[in-house]
Formats: sequence, structure tokens, C-alpha cells
Amino acid sequence: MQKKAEIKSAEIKVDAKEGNLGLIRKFIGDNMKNTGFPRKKISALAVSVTEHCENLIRHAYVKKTGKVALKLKLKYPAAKITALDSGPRFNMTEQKIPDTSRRLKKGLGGKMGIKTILALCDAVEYKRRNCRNENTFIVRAKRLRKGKK
Amino acid sequence: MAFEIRENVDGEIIIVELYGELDSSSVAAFSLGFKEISGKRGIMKYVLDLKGLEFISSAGWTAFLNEFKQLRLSGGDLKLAAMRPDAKRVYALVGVDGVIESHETVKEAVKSYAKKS
Repeated sequence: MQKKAEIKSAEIKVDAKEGNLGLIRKFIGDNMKNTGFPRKKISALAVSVTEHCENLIRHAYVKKTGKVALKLKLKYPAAKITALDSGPRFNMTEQKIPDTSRRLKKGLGGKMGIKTILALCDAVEYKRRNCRNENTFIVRAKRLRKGKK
Repeated sequence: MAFEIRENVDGEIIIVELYGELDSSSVAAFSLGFKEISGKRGIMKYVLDLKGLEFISSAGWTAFLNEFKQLRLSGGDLKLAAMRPDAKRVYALVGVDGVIESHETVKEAVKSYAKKS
């Protein structure tokens, strides 16, 4: 088992295609196995990154092919995955948490991915560098008290 | 694990078992498979057995909601059963729990149909 203070990094770059979503989840699962992170937090990252990549494939790369790179960094108790893409600007931190329950009761779908990401991740960060989006999804094995960084 | 769909019958209830992972890469296989089953069986009462489903993304939940709506419009019904804890968390989080009923086991889901009728 990895020592809890140890830093682990890993990267993967794949074509932004639906067929690679399973590979992305395998990358997360394999690299987070036996690292001390609870299964619930590993699952939260796998779901969030899948939702983000599904959105990229559906919206950013709909007219052109592209790649998505994932950089994983584990430093217990924080696990971060940064997704890099060359699609149009998309800042996850600017997204408001949609009321999907209300939408569904009205018969409207959509926005479930964004709701899931913002609810399951403990934090999200965004940078735009070299014409690329860098959306980072963070989970923490222990929740920080309010006011603490 | 590749996505798979199988069917089973318990009296008047059709149990549709799902296996593997359901995301935007496999959602078409679910919709096609479910339509094939419902086309053959007709408008009836269905239970989706999710115990073999290791992962569901919002594309999967949307597909469940679409089939549910179609069935309800034509007098049928659909319930979910045996959801894994990770899926159950998202099911409640996004509000699918306010639309499609879910039960701990397939047996309970089948029983719940008997209670209603």
C-alpha cells in the first residue's frame, strides 16, 4: 500500500471518443487502487471525469476530432485529475449547480452531468493555457473544515 | 466489462438484466436492446435489474428516463432494482428518484407491482 504522504502522478492521452471512456475509468481505478482513498471518492472522480469527457465529446469535439489528456496527482488526502482539451473555452467553475430534480419533474432532461460533477467533487479548478482548457477535479479523503484551505 | 442486456420473465413482469458499464458509448446498445424486448413483449410492466451494472453515467440515466416516459405514455411501467451504492448516490443526487421508483431487490420491485394492481 502507498504511504499516505507519498505523491503519485500518472498521465494518459486518448482520442476524445466515446469508446475510450472505459479506458479513462480504468486509468483512474488502476492508479487509485491501494492508495488509501475510500472507494466512494475513487468512484466520485471516475463519474466526474466520465461526465466531463462525455460533455467534451458531445459539445467541444462534435465537428472535429481531438484528444483529451488526463493528469492525475495523488497526495493524500487530496486526489486531483486535470483534464486538458483543445476545445472552445469551457470553465467548469463558472457553472451553476442546476436543479435537475426540478427539471426532471417538469419533464426536462439535461444538466445531470454538471450537477453530478459539482456535487461529487470537493473542489473544481480551471485554467486556460496555450489555447487549452484545464479543468481540475478534486476529491479529498477527509473533508476540510470551512475556512481551511 | 462490455455492456450486456438480457431478459427474464416473472409472471406478467419482464425483468431486464443489465451488465457492464452504461455510458454514452453503450447507451445505444441499451436503447436498441430494450426496444427489441419491449417490441417483442409489448407494453407491459418492466423491472430493470441493475445489480450487474458497474457504472452508469448521465447518458444512462437519460436512457432510463426516456424508456420510462415511453412506457408510461402507452400504459406500461418501469421500475429499477438492485442498484449498487455508487449508482444509488447519483440516482438520488440528480433527482431520478423523484421520477422512477427503485427497490432494493428485483423481488421487491416485482412485489410492488402486485400491490398496485
